Amino acid sequence: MSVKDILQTKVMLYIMAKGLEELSKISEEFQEEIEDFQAVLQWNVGENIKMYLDIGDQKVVAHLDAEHDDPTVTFIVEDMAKARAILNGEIDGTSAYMSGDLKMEGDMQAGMRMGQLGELLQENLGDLRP
Amino acid sequence: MVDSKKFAVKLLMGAMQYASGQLAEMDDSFKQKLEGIDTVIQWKVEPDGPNSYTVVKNSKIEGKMDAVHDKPTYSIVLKSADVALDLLRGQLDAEKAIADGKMNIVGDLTIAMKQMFILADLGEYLADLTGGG
Repeated sequence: MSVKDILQTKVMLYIMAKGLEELSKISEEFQEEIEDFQAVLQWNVGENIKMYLDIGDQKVVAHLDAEHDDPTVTFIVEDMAKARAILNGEIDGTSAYMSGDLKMEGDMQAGMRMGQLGELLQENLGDLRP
Repeated sequence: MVDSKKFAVKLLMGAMQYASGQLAEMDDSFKQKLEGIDTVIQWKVEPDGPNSYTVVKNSKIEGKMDAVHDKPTYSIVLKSADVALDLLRGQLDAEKAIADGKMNIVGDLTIAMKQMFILADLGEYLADLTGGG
């Protein structure tokens, strides 16, 4: 486990988290998408990388390097390289779940919505994603 | 409609600042190089942002997005969102960008040149991540 591995994983999580936060401020389409959605989505990656998204009232607030004490759903990815591939869309979230690389604890329905939000982020970044 | 380019520049700019702050906590040799530095670096993307600034102090690095500092040590002015994207994705060399007039540094140039290592070190860690697709 190298500094490089951790740093790259944190950067990918930053882009996902802050990307969704920013979209909830600037995109009406995105605001409509999360209109009825209220959840705390916790991400735990590798040994000790934690981040959560607090979604409600058509807003997403990103909490980097933080752990919520009662999340709606928790995504766990132990392998950091796999986590990066999931975050940048190289590996589809559903297949990562099927293969066991991505684990979900808590409310499955909220977990599936995360996938939709991720797709919207990719759409808005187009080919500009890192 | 979301301006994809501006959106991406803002995200990558924030990610770069976040990453340099994290690196200062994780990498001792990088942290040592920051010792004694007390600098505010303003980032500007023409014509209308996003703008942000980076505070380097006490061997720590912190970014402030969507903000303009009233007395930065130096400002890095990028001539367009395209230039900013290329630089942030590691596809544009800073010195070449200055030579080509795509980027300009205003303020204390001596300090700015001395601190180019920050971007270079960060680039080494993130190279295969930001190098595209």
